[in-house]
Amino acid sequence: MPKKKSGKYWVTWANSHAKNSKKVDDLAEPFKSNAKSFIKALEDAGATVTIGTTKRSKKRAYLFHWSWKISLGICKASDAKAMAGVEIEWDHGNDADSKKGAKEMVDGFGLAVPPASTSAPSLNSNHIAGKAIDMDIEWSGNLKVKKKDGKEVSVPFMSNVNSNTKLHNVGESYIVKKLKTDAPHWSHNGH
Amino acid sequence: MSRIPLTFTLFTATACSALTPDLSPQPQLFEFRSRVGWLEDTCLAINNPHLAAGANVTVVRLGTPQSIIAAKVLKRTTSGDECKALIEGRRDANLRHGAFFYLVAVPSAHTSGMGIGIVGELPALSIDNGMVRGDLDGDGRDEFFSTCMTSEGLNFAVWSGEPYDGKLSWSAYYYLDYDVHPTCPEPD
Repeated sequence: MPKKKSGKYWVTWANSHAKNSKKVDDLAEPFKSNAKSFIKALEDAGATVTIGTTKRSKKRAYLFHWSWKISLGICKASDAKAMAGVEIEWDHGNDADSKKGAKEMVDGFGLAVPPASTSAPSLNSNHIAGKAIDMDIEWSGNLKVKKKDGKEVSVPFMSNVNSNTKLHNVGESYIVKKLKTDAPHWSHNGH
Repeated sequence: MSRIPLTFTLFTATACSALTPDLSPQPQLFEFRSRVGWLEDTCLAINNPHLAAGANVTVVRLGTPQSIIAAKVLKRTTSGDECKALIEGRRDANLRHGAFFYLVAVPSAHTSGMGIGIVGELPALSIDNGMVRGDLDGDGRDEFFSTCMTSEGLNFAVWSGEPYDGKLSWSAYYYLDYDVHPTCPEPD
């Protein structure tokens, strides 16, 4: 299959061929079972759990990473590694056109750029490995929820979930650990 | 015995405040939650559903150096074509917890970048060492503005005092739905 040059086409392609998952079943074991148990305990106690992203597409991350770096001139198109299943040609034959094609992708994907965002989208992460879940957990008042050992604890609702250490402790009993900087993010190791 | 000193203290306090009025700055009611939001390009996210077209917005662009831009509300939007924060994958997380999205009109040279927007009339803001500052709430202490990257988003903050050193007056989170290397300080 001939390679297709970088540009808007790849945004459309990724949105149908390299989507992130919202399914808990797409996570990797044992995190999948741990996350399911934690969510069941929350729901059994009366909380509403809204699942966001679970496993992120490695191909999508690859397109994010290299389009960001090439568009900003941090890497040349020729520096980009190939990825099986993503037949993209980053190099348009000259730097200006290669950057333009990459920039179309950065814009289409809505990637944050400097000065606010100085970090390239990552090629690897807990989400990509299937070991992280983004979810919103809501309830009213105090949630009487069971930890993994069956012991019931009372957890007050806090609008800032990053500060709710009692909820974090319940998650930790299921080996579902809170990352305290990102409201929806839980993972196998807290990162 | 105990009533005499109390009476004396009350009288003294009343007499003192009458003779020497307190001239220190008095905090005014400043609703950070409904008056402050974050911007990406020309899209403002704010916990306020009542902004009218034409309302004044002061934008602090969070570059290096920071800058101050006058803007006006154009319209409310729910479109991912108009606000990157509303594209699929990010939309639900960014709409959660009461955020409303507006398009704002800014001068053409200042349409891109992240920022913090403040709605309505404000005291004068200044730029000192590349950082915008101004006493938004009239408590005698300047507010400062910051942003940093988390593992999958951006944090925006307004501080009473210097960023990460002063008191946090307002903060918001923009969920990007991809993974990045964080630049925010580790939380306590």
